[in-house]
Amino acid sequence: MTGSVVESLMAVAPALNLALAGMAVVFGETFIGKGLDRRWLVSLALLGSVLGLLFTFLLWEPASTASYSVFQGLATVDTFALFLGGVILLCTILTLISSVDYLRRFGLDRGEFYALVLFSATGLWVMVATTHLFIIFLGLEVASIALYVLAGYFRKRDRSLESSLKYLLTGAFASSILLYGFAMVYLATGTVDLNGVAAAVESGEASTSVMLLALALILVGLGFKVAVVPFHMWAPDVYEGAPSTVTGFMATAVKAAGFGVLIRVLTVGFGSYLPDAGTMLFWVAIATILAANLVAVAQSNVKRMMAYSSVAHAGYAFMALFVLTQNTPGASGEAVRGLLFYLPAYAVSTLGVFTIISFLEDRRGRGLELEDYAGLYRRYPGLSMGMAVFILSLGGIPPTAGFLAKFHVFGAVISCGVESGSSQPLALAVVGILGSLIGLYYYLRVLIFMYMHEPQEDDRQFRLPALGVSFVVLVTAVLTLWLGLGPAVGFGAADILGWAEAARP
Amino acid sequence: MISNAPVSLAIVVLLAVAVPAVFVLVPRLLGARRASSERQTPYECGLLPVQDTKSRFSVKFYLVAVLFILFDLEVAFIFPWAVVYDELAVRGFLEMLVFVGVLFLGLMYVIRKGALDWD
Amino acid sequence: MADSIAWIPGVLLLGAAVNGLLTLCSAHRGGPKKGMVIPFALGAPWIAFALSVMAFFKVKGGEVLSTSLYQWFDGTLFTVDVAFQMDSLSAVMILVVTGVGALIHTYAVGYMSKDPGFGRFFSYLNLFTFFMSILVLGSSPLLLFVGWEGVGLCSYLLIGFWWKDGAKAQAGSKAFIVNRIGDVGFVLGVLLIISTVAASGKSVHDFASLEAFATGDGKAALESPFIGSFSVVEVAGFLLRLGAFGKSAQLPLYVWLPDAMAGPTPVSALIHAATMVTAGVYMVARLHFLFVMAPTAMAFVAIVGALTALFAATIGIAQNDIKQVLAYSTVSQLGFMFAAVGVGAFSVGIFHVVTHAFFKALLFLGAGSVIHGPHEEQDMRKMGGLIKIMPITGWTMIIGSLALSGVPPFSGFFSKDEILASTLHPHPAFPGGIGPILYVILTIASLCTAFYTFRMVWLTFFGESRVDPEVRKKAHESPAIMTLPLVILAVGAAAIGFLGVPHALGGHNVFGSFVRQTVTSEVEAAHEGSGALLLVGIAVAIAILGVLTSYWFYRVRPSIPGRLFAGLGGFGRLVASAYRVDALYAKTIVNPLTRSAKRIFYEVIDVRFVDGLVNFFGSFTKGLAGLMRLFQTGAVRTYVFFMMIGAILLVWSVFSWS
Repeated sequence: MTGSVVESLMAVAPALNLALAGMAVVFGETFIGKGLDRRWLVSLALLGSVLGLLFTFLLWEPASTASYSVFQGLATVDTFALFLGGVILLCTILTLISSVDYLRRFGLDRGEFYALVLFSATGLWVMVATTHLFIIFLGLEVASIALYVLAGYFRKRDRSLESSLKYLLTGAFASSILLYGFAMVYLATGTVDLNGVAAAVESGEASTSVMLLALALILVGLGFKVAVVPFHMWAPDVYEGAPSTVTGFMATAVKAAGFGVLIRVLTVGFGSYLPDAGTMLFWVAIATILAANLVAVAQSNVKRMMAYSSVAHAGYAFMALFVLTQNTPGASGEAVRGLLFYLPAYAVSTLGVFTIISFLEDRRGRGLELEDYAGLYRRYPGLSMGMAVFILSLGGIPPTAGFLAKFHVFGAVISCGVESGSSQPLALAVVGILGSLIGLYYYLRVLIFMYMHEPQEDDRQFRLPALGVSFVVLVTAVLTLWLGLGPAVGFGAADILGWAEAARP
Repeated sequence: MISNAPVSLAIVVLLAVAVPAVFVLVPRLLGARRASSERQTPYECGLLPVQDTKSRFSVKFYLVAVLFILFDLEVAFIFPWAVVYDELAVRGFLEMLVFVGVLFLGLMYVIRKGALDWD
Repeated sequence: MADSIAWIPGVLLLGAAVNGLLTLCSAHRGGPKKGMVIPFALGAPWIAFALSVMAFFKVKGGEVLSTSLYQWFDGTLFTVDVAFQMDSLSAVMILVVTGVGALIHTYAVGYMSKDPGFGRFFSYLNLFTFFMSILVLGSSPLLLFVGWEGVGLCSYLLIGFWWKDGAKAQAGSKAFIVNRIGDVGFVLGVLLIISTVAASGKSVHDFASLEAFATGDGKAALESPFIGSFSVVEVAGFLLRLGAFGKSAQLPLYVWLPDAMAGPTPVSALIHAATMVTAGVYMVARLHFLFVMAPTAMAFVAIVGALTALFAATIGIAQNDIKQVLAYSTVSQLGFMFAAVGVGAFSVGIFHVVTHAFFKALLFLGAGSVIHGPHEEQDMRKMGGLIKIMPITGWTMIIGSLALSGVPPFSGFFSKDEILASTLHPHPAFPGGIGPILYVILTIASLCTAFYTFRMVWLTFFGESRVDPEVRKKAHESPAIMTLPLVILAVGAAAIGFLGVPHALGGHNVFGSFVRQTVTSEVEAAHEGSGALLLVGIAVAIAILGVLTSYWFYRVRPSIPGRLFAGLGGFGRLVASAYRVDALYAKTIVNPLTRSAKRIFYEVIDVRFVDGLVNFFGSFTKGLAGLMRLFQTGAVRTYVFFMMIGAILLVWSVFSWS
């Protein structure tokens, strides 16, 4: 479908809502900022993202019959885009809600924060809703620049500034490599539209060596964004220093968008070169899973541990990408589906964890060490229960979403091995499962501290969890369980998998 | 599409190496080398090359400079638009209105936040 | 709908949820009132038991009950419903789980009555029973796995229940981690089977269709070579058994079970004796159609089972903690069960699961009562003569001990006798000679069993009282809510064996033929009527010999054990320290893992190696140093440097492997 401006605007309505809400928040902060209760700004931001989610549902039905290709083919709004866009919007909404109490406690409750989250979400949404490499880059930069600022939002804290600067420097480096990869694609095929690239490759006009170079460079750039070894080293520092709710957003929405772009670029543009990337993805996945999980064992800071955990999860997701390279159609379908299920499953659990982390962090940035979690069950039984659900989900224990996600990805990898008769996928599956075993060790430590250690006697007082915090923890916990074992009423596991099936590019 | 892409790539790489090399080498080969105390000091845009490193100047310089670059760059988008204004007609006008509107919002924000107040 | 078997887990989940919510809402007031907890804590298992009995009578008529709640997920490879089924195998298991479970719940009301975490305890315990019912009733391997992990989780919570004690918390996580090692095998095995099914273009998800696949058109695919000369089903069999070994505490993964005794005693009785640890045996019986296709894996499991039985029994002899004796005894008895299912006598293994559930739950609860009586004392050397103080506990425990030792006509005799007999008729594809070897190992193990069991009885209940006089004054028989379950279990432990009287003794083995409604395989059928009278005689003689020896050692000549132990020297100490396996594991696996994580990956690679590498290049190549200096903003240069290295490797790899 290509159509009028109105149709184009309708098709990108979710992103439009985000952007408009962002601008409205800036407007509100600008003109009525002084005496205004910032709750209105948050409501405005939430309204925009909830409307975005609503439009996503409205667009789903028409997009599943014929996807929108609008703005002269610059934006492709298909079910794939809407699915991942929906995940991004969900992360945005939850981040916004959990940030209110967090920022207010530190006296930093400003409209800019919410506007930046919305702008970043806009960029991420744009990334997944296009087949055009330059638009991907545009979205990536919009999202990243907003995130650089958000990471340094606590400008009185050295850690936060350091986080921002490190993210900016390494991010700029990765962006340039990614852009270089895109340039190589243009060099080889004369187009930057992935469908055109595929056509050029089909007709044999593209130079194989340049395309392979492009593939490697693009994987480096996007590998940085989703943080896989060896492009992960920024993640622990940045995640640790950034405001906790921002870290949650980075670990979920950004990853969802990054993997969305990876799937699209690999399957649409580089389909015929995928077998060449097999060994590379194999080693990246193995290195990521092993290194991240092992280093995470040595962490005593919960945020840093979660950073390595997010790297490890990117490794599991890379296992699914590996399957795509193996020329096994049955397993490939399952892998994409599994990966698309993995992203929301991982996102809800991780956002829950970061919401709790942000709640426990105090003004001086303390409360992030494992020891600070000792005996938490006594003080916050509800939050501790939520934390237990999230931790078990991240560790891949049934009946949580994390288990089902891992089951699908590992299942796809083993099916790939059975289908192709090659031992490489099986080795990968073994490493993956061993990795998640190591992962369980450090995840459980959090639970041990929370439930089985005596609480520390200190000056910190009991605070009743704010409504927003309780709400986010409740929603994410219910979603984690529901995706894991819930019946398919609206958004159960079967439904999400069904959507993921429909959303395959 | 370019069928001899590797060759083109090689040319790009070659140029990327050659141009800076030429800029470095040519003065070295052609330039006269007469040492004098003035020539030995590094050129620093008129600032004294050696002075106290703790000299202070207002951070507001940076702010103004950054804002200038921001708005200056946006003008670069308006020039090409102006060139083909006739062809774009009303639709082009409306689109630019949106663009400038967003810019205007930004400017308002900057002013209201006091980024341009010197004191 | 009303008579659906889904109500069994449903009721249990309700109990757990209500107790959980009560605990949560009253956490600031130090937990809910006991009166509010008890109705749901006890109601849930008892109603579930009643429902199970009702369902059992339908199954007994040859019906297979099944109910599907909703589709869990569907897909190109797997489609799984949340569905339950009850055939004769799961009927037997659910009766044990809910029946013995309900008794233990009742007992626990008395046992935990003074504990501040009363509500929390029962929400965990109900949750455990819920997951156990999922495990047993689940109609697909995946649902079984949900229950499997769920019970592991609850066991972790319950072992570490008294979390103020660091060692107990540690024991909880040890149990969880060791179980997960086994689960790696389980998951891989299930995935391998499902993938094979999917590769042949079918979407098979529940046990019934899996069995049809394995015995029908999927036989060739499952038996095709996979890794080396091993077939798919053999590899999967090994992996699945690894899972079973972890959950059921077999060599070499048994280490967690003795430590798990740190939890409250009813927990040890329910989880670590009667139900959860037998899940591995149940799983093997449930997937019997796969295992009979892999005789190598079966022989392997039979040998491991027999060796575990002997190994743990010898350790049991040298333990002084009453719960440790029972823990090693459980490991040993599980070994017997695995030996049975290993040789293909699935129904015999399950029969021992049932009888063991009764007498071991009885023994644990009795031990709990004993510990409760003389003021939280677990060391048998500080007991003695307790039969006068707590006669009900004493006599019921003696019944349990007789059953455990295999003295006729108590239940353990029948099941153990059948196991011994079945080892002489193993799977026809076994290498010759394995049968008799297994028989000899297990016979020695049962001698040890009878010996350590009655050593426990003599030391605890008879002879001079070695209880501290102060404590002795306070020692008392447990209240009725604790002794009543003991009496009921004692009746069960004494009588339940008559369900499986072998043909050799003129019985009809009602139990065996009931289970064989479900477990139908030719290996299984071969065991019908295998128990010859001679074997029965040997078994009885061995049991009585064990009991008499221990009587001689501990009642007539109490100085013998000490001298014997001294005579054994180093070996004796080795046995007493449980062969130092824990230390070995700590040295070889646990410590290196944590240490290498810290040293190699963090200190060396992150700090030393990276910096060293950077310095090396920095001083070596001026050009590279210049590049480095451009990025000298803290550690960012290191990150970018690594990104560069990674980028180069990636570029290199696409070209070299394409």
